[in-house]
Amino acid sequence: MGLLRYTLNRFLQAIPVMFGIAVITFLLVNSMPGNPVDVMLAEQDASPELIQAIEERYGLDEPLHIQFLNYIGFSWFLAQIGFPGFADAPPGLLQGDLGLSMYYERPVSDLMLTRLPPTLLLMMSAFAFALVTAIPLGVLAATRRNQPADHVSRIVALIGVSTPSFWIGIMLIILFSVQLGWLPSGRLVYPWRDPSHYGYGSTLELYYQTVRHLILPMIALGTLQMATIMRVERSSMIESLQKEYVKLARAYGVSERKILRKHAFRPSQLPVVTLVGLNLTSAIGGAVLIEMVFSINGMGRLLIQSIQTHDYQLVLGTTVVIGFVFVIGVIITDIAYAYIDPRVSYGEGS
Amino acid sequence: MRRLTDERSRITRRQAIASGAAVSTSLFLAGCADDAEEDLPDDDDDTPDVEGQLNITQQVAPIEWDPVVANDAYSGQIYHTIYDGLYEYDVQTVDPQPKIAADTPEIERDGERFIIPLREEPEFHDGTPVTAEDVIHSFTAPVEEQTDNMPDFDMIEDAEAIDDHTVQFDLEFPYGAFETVTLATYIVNAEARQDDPEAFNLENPIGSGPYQFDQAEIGEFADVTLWEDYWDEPSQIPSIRWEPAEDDAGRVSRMLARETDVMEGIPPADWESIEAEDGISIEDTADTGVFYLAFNCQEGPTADPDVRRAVAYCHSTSAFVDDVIGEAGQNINYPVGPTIAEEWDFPVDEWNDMEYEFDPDRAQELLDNSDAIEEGDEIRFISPPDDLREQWCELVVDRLNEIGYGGRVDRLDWDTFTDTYQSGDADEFNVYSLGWTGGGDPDVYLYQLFHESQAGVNQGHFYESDEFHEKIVQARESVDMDERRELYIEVIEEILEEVVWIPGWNTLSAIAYDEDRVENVLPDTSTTTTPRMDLPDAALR
Repeated sequence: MGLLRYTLNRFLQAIPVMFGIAVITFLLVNSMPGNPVDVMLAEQDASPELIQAIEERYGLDEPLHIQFLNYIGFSWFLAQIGFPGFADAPPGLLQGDLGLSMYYERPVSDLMLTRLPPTLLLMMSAFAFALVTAIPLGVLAATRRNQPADHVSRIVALIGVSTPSFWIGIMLIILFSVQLGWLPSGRLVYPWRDPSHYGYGSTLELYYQTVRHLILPMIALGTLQMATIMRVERSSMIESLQKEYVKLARAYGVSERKILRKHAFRPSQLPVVTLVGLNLTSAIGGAVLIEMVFSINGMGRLLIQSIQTHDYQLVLGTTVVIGFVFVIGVIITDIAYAYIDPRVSYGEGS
Repeated sequence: MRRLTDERSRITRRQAIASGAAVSTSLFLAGCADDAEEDLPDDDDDTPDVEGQLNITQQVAPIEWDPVVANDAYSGQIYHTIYDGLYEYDVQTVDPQPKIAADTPEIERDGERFIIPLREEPEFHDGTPVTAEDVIHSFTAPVEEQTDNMPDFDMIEDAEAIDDHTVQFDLEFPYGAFETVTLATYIVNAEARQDDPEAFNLENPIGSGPYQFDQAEIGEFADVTLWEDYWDEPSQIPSIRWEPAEDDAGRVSRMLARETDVMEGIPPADWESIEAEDGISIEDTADTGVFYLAFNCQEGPTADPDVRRAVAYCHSTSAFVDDVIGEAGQNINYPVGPTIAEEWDFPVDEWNDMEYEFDPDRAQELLDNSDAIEEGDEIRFISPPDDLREQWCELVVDRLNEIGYGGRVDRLDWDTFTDTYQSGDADEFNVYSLGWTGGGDPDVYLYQLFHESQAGVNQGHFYESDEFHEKIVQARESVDMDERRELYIEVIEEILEEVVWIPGWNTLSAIAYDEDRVENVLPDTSTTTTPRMDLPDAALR
């Protein structure tokens, strides 16, 4: 089986998983106590007519099973084939419509499209920071095992793993923004915007400010990833360096540098690749907090706001999309794993 | 498709890693370098350098700009600069003054008809004059479109334009707060709004206020620019940008790092440290809100007024407010905001003296003598997800435990909390802790929070007393201010004597600002107009 077919298979297998995510999320959100309309109209002398009008506007007056069919988008299909009782059914998840946010009064998909790029920018830069620092440090720790460099690396990793990212963020802000005044304390400058939007005179200035605004949140979010990747890199490298073929290479007089680069490094990256894929979830969780601390207008902040405002459709939409992103992350990890490791088959019987 | 060869994949990975490392390193160095290229901006200023722009940090992101639809305070902070009200409150008061209206309303038919003359000079940002039809649309659209603001206008039976600059409202019943609350409504451009309501709300709001809407990205920023043809005295600040920062630490850091000029939403715990910072000042004023403990007067042990008095005696609300709220609020012992009390000349000193002093012996005696509770019985408190209100409940429960009577506090999410206190079920709660933002008239507190028609809606105390409820309605349906005042005093004194509530505190409406950047920017009595940015005195230094 080729890589393409393997990839297609993995995506096909993901469909029931994604459907399961949508079903479970829908049921969980609907099992939350209270009525979202009551929360929306808290502190108001709302008449029954107003409550009914709002419930109708958001489809909350329908029975739960109809709400589910509407949400998934089955009702829309039934409407297309003229099934009685579904004439005015709205498009749903299958048609790419995640409903209307009760708080923002905007389509959920529109809100997410504007919030996804900042989160991706933050996560990608955090992972870049993590990989660029963790891999050299992990290799260094493994090759200098039980020496001062190894001890320092392990202490750094231990601190990184055990310190909450939001706390690191707050400390970085206090030190570099409030005390030293070197870097901005929050929000991002988006490189895809026009420089005049921020009052900057040139694209260079825009990029420069993008980097300056990105440094603190990138470090805050990337530290945990850096620490976990470094620990795995170190142990994986140590294991590789003890393999028989490495000993054989040494016996043949191959230089340590070449052994490290050619024989030990590559197989050591397999656990790292797995870890990076699976760490997407913790990175999304971390991004929620980091976006709040640094006032970054991303998906994490949107999720928190949707929960705080009991925005039923938005909670559903963000949770489902984050679930989908995780599934896609796992698939990409599997594909990368298969691509890197020749021992991994594409599913053909041996 | 064929599998990629090992050789090709190895080169790709190496290149990717190498280029990634190079890019990341160079980005990091570029970002940190203080002596970067000459054409790069000054590192000391992280606020985008837009000349003449005032930057304000909000604690919650605004969402929309049409006052017919919007009902959140943080959107109001922006659109109060875009629209003029028919009447507007003087800064830091709840005294409505004519703005688009030319004079005070003429009241006929015992308070069921209001005739309002309009000024001729106000114009909208698109150059069209403000007419009676615009006023009528602004008052009737919330009901016709069943927006969230419908309850504020549903007493209007009919609205009619007598001529282009005179409007007449007929009410279903005489409504005392119509003059003090309802008439302070923002006027929208009816034609523009009706052409495309969604665009009007989200992209192109048109009012007649001192600023024009410029651009906004929800959750990120909202910009307004000075309207040079403003019909009234113009502001001195060329443009304003609001940016939200929900996290307390992040918001305070922005202020301390001087990345914003003004910050609203000062966390009580950070009040002193911000005040101590050189170059940053805090301005505050009482707002219209009130936080309180309310008892279940219908069922359970707290149906007995002596049990309620015992709960009041077993702790000191004023000591709690001093210790926990500190400079961010003030203790009050009446169920309306202090600005309302001041405006109506209520006897607040007398009411504050009625506060139950901490007297555990008296509390124990009342509980021992009550048939509604036995030693060891639990009084159940519920709190919304708010630390201060939960702490208040916990303090009372600790004190009850000390005198041999139990209690427990359940912190509930908003949905569950609302459902629970609305139920009036003593198995679910005996006391609840809540707050109310109020408004420009006592009716907004006393009818909404105490009248029997609001039981299970806005109030869960279910307090019963025919005369009490009659007085509330009588005050609501009178336009004789003296009569209303006397009735409200009687109602409030009954609330305090019967301990339907234990009033707690009023939070101060406050802003922190950079002294080197701004002057005369003031907080207002309402979060919706804090900081007050439609005043001509506010300026950048």
